[in-house]
Amino acid sequence: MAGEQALSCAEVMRMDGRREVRLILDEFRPAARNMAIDEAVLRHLSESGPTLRIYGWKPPAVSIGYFQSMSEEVDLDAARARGVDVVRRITGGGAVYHRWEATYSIVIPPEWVPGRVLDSYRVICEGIVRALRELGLNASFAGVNDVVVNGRKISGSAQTRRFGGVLQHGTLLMDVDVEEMFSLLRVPSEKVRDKMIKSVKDRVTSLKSEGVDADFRRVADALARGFAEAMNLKLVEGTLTEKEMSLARELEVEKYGNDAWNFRR
Amino acid sequence: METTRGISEGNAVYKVAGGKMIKVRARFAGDVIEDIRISGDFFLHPEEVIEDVERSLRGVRIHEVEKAVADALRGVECVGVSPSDFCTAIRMAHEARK
Repeated sequence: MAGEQALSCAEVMRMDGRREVRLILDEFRPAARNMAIDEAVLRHLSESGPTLRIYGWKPPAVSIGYFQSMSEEVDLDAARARGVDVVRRITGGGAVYHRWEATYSIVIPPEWVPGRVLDSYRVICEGIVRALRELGLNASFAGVNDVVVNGRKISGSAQTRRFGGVLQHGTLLMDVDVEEMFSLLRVPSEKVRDKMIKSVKDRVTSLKSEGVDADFRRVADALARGFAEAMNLKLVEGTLTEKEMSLARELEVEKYGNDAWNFRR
Repeated sequence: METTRGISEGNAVYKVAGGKMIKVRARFAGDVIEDIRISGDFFLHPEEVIEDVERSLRGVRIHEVEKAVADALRGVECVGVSPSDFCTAIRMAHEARK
């Protein structure tokens, strides 16, 4: 069977049409490390191949979008007092409180998705839709990059294209505490805070709110299967390479753990 | 009363149709933008272009921002906002200056 083992990725694709993707079922990590790993994997796309990583956050963290200002968006004293990490993402979008969620990041060649970012969200987010259906929920893509259940948002994503690849990462909410989230975000006034809390409670849901009692591993497995089905992937479980880990360590210290990046805007 | 050469600062928070937020902090010399910082929860591809937008707005008169923004965003995919939304937010910051 030596000949079979020697099949290249391209040949495997011709055989069953599925694209091979490394699956990393990862752990709960600090914010700077998570963002550093996402970028390290993106930068190694041509060497390590397309990758789907599913991970969590420990300690809990607030991430802000590329274009956001840390001091404008985050109550840094509150975050420090509660031991909550803060980090600025390589991707645009809004501030996210990461606690009870499964997070995915997928790194693929641009040829796999439509040329316009807006169009490609629908293709990639279909993986989340399928995962939620597997968990028993009637989910659908709601544009621009949201997935909803019963009209309420349960997942948000953000994408960037650089270093010759596409990186999209996003969250699937397992549980949500809107008061806790807003205790970490800066708002114009207490009155506005109450209004925003009410508005978010009306618009956001979670697996728990929808009556799904699933642990992280089950949600991670559902996400993996969801992406595989939606994007016709053959997932092969793997780990980060030495080179990726070394770059991730560097990016964690020099970039995502550094005020020069986090407070850039 | 402000003279045409008077230095003023203006901030604006503009919620665009669809829900995205554009925040502008700017310093003006009369009607000319001296310095500007644009932030928010929108998407631009490639992202670094925001620095070009800010740079190209420096020294620009408030009634000429449309051209500066359009030039800087040529070929850029904007998601959740349009170039004219940035112009609106910049004009709001100019009107709110003190």
